[in-house]
Amino acid sequence: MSSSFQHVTCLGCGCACDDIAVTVEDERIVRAEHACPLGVAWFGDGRVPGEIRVDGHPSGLEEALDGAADLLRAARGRLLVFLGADLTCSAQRAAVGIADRLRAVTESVVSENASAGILAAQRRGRAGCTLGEIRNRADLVLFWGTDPDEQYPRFRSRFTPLSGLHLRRGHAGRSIVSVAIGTDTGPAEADLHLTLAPQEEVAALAELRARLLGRSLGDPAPWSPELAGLADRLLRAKYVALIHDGERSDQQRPPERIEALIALAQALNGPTRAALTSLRGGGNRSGVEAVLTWQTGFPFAVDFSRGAPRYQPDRRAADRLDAGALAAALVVGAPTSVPETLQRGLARIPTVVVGPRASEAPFPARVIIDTGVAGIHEPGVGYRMDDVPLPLQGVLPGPRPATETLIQLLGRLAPGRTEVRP
Amino acid sequence: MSLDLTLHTAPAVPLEADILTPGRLAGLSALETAKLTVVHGNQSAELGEFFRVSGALDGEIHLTGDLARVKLIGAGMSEGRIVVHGSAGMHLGAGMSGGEILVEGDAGDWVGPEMTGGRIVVHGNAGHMVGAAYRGSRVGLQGGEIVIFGNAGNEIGSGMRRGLIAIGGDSGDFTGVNLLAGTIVVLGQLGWRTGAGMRRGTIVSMHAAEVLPTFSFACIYRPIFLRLYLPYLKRLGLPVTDAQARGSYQRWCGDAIELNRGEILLLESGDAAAAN
Amino acid sequence: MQLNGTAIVDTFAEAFAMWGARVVITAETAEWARAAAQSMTGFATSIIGCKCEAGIEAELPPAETPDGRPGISVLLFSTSAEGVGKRLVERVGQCVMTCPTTACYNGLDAAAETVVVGGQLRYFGDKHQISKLLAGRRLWRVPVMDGEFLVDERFGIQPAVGGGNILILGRDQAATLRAAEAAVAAMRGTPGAILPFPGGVVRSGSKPKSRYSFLFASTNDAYCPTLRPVAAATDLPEGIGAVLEIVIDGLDLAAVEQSMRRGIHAAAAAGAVQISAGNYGGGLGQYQIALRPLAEPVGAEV
Repeated sequence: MSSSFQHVTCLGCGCACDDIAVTVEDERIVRAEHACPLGVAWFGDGRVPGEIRVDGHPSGLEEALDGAADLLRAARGRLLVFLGADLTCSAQRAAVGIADRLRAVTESVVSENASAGILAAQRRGRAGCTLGEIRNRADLVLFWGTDPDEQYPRFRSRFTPLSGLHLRRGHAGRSIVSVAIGTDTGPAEADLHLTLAPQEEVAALAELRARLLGRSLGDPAPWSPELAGLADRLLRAKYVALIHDGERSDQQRPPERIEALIALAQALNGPTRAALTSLRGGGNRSGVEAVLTWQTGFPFAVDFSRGAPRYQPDRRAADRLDAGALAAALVVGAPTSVPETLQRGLARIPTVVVGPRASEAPFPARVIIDTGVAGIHEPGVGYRMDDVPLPLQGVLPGPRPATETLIQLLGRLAPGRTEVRP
Repeated sequence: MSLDLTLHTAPAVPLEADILTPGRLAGLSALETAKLTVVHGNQSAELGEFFRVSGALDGEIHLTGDLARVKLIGAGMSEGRIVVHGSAGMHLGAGMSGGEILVEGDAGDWVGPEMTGGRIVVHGNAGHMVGAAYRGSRVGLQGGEIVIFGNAGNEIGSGMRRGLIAIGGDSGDFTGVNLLAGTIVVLGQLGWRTGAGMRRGTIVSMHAAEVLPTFSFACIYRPIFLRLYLPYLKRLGLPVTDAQARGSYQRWCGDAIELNRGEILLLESGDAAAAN
Repeated sequence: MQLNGTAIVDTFAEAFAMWGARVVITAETAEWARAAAQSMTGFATSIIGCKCEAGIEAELPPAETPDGRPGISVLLFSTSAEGVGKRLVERVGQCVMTCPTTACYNGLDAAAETVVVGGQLRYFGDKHQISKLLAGRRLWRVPVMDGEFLVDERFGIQPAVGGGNILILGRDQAATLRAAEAAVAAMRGTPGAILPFPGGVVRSGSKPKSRYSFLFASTNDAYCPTLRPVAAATDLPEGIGAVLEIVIDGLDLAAVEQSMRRGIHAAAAAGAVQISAGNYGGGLGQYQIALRPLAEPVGAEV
């Protein structure tokens, strides 16, 4: 018996392509049409483990939830709630509720680079746009130190093809500029190539911005003539799309480059129109930020230990774990999305994992509850990298839904049943 | 007469002690003070579980012990005086609006963030983010004075809007990043990327420094206002020399990618005559 | 009453309530500070024609100035607080800021009232000016061709006393002038007081009326030696051939009295025939400073 599903949203990367056609046969996914290799790998055949274990022994759900609640309540000291990947927004919301109830410290799947980007945006603002805007209006696309093809394979074909609603057809309509920062190269085919060394990046961005503001500078640098040419092109464009990778880079690149990129986009909005897009990873990580902001007012690094949510972006969980300041942890979502630095620390404290493939967690956990994957087994809402919400479907039955499981755990932590002193 | 708190049990994890201000402890007896709640990790605890309390508050609080894990001492205070005979933890004097804090040892990160008045003096070293804006905030120090006799870390005075920060030793990178106005004086060496993104304000150093390419050299001159500022810092105990007060400074204008009304002043040469 | 053979008339000086300010001017050298001070206090002899009265109070050694450079303190007086403010802006702007290497500071730290001076002069910087706030004191740095002009935003003002005076009556012009010069030498440097007229001395004392409809004041014919027989009335005793007046403005009554006391004793010692003082019958001014108590022997001097 085969069935097919249209307009399925893939969470393989932040593109969140919602034009996937999934074919299911015998309770397996056999085809994901339009999906890129990353997406095909993300969908897999849709089969996930459905185990529940307490201290290594198979267990029933009620017993596991009781065990998890006891473990978390008994901990003397601060608790960590890690918001991982592949959860729907409603599951994320339930997890935030648990963190609140436990007065925990939260950490999430937002990467170091992405959090630097958020801080920069808070300090300086943002000049952004939805991906459709790029497709339909950007007549100049500048890839700054990133070639999306590897990590976001369909980005260029979906959002920067040679045609767009308000563009002329062909090369006359859209030109591509590719800037390589050391070994972080841009796309190979471009109308203009520039290369900078990593240690030159921030200075070059500053010089570019100064040129756009019409300010004179000190002595010219070796890259100055090329930057002058680039500045001209930017000023002559009608709509500039700046694209950079918000998640990772192969090299050490200074975090202040992100603020410089934001400032560049803002400066360009004087003489022309521009937007900066940060490429973000998959697993509905943009949803984590959206849900945390919705529930607490802050996008990440939220600390509930004083009752009201506090923003503590300087005191990350890895530091706290190293300092021995955390007593127990609850990981929700895919445990493989926990960064390695954190995994080592989690091995030293009692941990509960609730999420897809919890039983395959790469770190030891006392209570393990497998759930389905958002967008494969669990319907709901997920966010694209440009913060556009998209519907998620369930194409296969899963072990148990993460949202309901977490809500049940939240119920067991209700006041009156908690020993945490106010 | 002052209220004396002596650490008898070191906290196992950081202690949040923002009740330790003259304002909040006013009118309380030593016994009542010992029963006040502090946050220790995930739990609440009584102040007396960590401190022996004696004396009475008449505007001064004396804390004794290695308080490197005691955070938020003097946070939000508006009057009175706190003396720490030892080191102090992070967020010392956060958001304070008046009064004085004196630390005989070192201080942690985030000394006096978003302060609006008063004075903090640290005789040892301080960490990063002295007088800085909190993450996500655009404006940092809005008034008051912070004096660090030793070294300080990165991002001193980030987003500072008004006030005075003086470092007797070296400062780290990004001193005065996104400075809106105010004055930072570093008697030692500056780190990297000083004044990045500054709009107005003054950063002074007694040593040569590498200046960002978006800063432009103006001239070498003898700024008269330093003849008020530097002796003032000398009266606060910093090792400022007369030669420095009367010396010639390179003036660098920047940051050209912002308002370009800021300045970095680097001592070119001390006044030879003054050295006599 | 006699002092050293000089007759001290039993009368009083009639003085007026005014507002005063103290300005500290510093420069790289004492000479340049003096140049600025002299320029600032020029054309400031009488309120009537000059809108203010000003003079140099003292030279300040570097250790006593805010920036440790040589300095001069100047006192300026006017009839209203607002008037002091306006004159300060004009004179500091045109005479101090224009002078090489100077800086200008408020000299009345404890004043309850203030006027804006640097806060007005800052606009000369054409948006390049920089404000600095140190321990609650706001200063302005105005970029100028030789570097920067540093000036306090606000200057203190206080109620003051103007128009204290002594009249020196002598045998002839030369003798009277000698006595006046001796008086001025003794009066200079009195803290809190200045002598606004040229060299400290007025030779053209006036009376507050005139036979011309367009004038408020005219020569004090009662004291003019050439008019003894023809003036409506004469106040010149036998043997007096010339009269000179010294006017004193001070930050308070004590300073004016102190200055007058020094002048009376010095003029008497230098051979003045008589010492008197000018007044309007006591109906115009707020202060009446009696002469004779000030002429008491030197033991009472401070």
